[in-house]
Amino acid sequence: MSDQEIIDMLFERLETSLTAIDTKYGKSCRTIAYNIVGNEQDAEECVNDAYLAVWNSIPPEKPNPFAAFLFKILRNIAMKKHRTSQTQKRKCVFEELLAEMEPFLESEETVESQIEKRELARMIEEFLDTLSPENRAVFMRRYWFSESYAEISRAMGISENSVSTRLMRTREKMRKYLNERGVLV
Amino acid sequence: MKPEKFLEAMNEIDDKYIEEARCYKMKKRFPIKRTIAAAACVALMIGTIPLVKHFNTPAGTGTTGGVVQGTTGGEDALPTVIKLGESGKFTAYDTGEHDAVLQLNANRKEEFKIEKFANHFVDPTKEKTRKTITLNGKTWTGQYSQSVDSAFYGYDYDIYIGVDLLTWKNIFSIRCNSDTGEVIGFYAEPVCLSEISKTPISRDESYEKAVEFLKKNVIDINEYVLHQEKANDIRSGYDFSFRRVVNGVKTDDHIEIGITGAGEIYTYHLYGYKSMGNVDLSALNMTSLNQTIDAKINTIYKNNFDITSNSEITLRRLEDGTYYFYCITRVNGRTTKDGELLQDLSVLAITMD
Repeated sequence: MSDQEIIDMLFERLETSLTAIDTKYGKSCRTIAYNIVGNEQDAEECVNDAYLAVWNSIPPEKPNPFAAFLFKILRNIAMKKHRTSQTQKRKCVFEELLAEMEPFLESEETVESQIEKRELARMIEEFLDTLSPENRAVFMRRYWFSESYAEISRAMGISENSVSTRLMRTREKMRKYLNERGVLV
Repeated sequence: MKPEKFLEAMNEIDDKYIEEARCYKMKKRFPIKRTIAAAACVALMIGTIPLVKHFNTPAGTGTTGGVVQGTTGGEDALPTVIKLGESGKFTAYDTGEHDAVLQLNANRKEEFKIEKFANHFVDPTKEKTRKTITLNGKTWTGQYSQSVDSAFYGYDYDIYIGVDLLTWKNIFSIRCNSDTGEVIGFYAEPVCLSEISKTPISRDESYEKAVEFLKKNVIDINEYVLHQEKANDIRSGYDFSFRRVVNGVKTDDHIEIGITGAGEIYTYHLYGYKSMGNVDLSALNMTSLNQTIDAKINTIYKNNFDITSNSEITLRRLEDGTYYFYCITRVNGRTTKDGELLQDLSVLAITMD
């Protein structure tokens, strides 16, 4: 089923639209959520909350592309859940990402260096534009989709070593990029 | 900067980066031998031998047929319309062979035998597998997807044609019955469709075209009634939804069909064609059924919600053969489906099959 047909069903308030979304994107959603929250129960909850948020947003929204719209909602929900979880942090890919990024983003947090999320997002976009399509895809899969090295390796047909090397070089490049723009001091 | 802040900011970036990463495939060098063999297969496809024979025959054995006409030249035409039932009949119930003609443009036609069409693209033993073939310089990707609500939608295949893998916009897709391979639906994106040359056709003209198509292609079309319609923004056309009626009761079996302003059918889907079976509702007392449902709705919702509307009662059949009625009750602007009603009514009104 095409995304447009799903959106049409949402506009008609057909509950089968949620089934259609789950059929098409359910597996990807569960993977994204699980990689962030680290357990299946929380992941399932995040996915259900995301579907509800989509139901409540469309109409009037007419997102294109639909997948990115859905995944963004889900990622926000999952990251919020990860933040607010009172239980001991389970080992999950997201925790690995945080640990991975920390050395490259370490800086003194000063008033002058505080930056709005949106402004930072624009800088990240500009940085992404400097990357080759392959490295950009690897970077996004790791730090947006929270995929493991093995998952990225399988999806992109490159070795895990190659994934690791590309990410390390990209992180270093990003550190320099943000440093030059005064985001990191 | 905390890593969390960075990762949160990532959520604000433009969708194009997300889509690119989601769909990105590393470019691979095609093995030379396989490329030559594939080219040889395409070059040998002439005449009208069914596609099934072509794909079951190893490359280079001299088989003729299959069906591709006027394919050279590098012209990159996109499908504009698919005509079903060249032999005059297309039906969801008949498991015989059917012809489909894919009309690429005024000068080029591709003919395919529909029987087991889907099986040429996918491995039916594996869900969500994908197979890609090259035909006439066009990439056809077949992907099998199984509906969660299988009693209603049935098992079907989605075939995507000419997919833009970067943005994953399927240019033309076909839905096939997984048992028979019959085409039970298709969708063409606006890029495949003709522009409107003057003014769009009227609603009545659109409706006539829809009915004309359905009469040729749906064997029990007389059991369907118009259920909903709306204008669409696909070249200023109209969409129509028809539902099958059994003994005066609307069922979940339905047909969706969309006409563009230029009079082309851009989408057609047959849903729930397996779901009803033979159900005898001659003994059903609709007045009694309506009263029972009204009473249930009042009991459940009266004290907590303002009921704004109830939909018509619709009949559905579950995979285990249970029939039930349901209606959608809108409460304070929210839509809810009353599951409790269904079980009671299915016991009351229908004999299990």
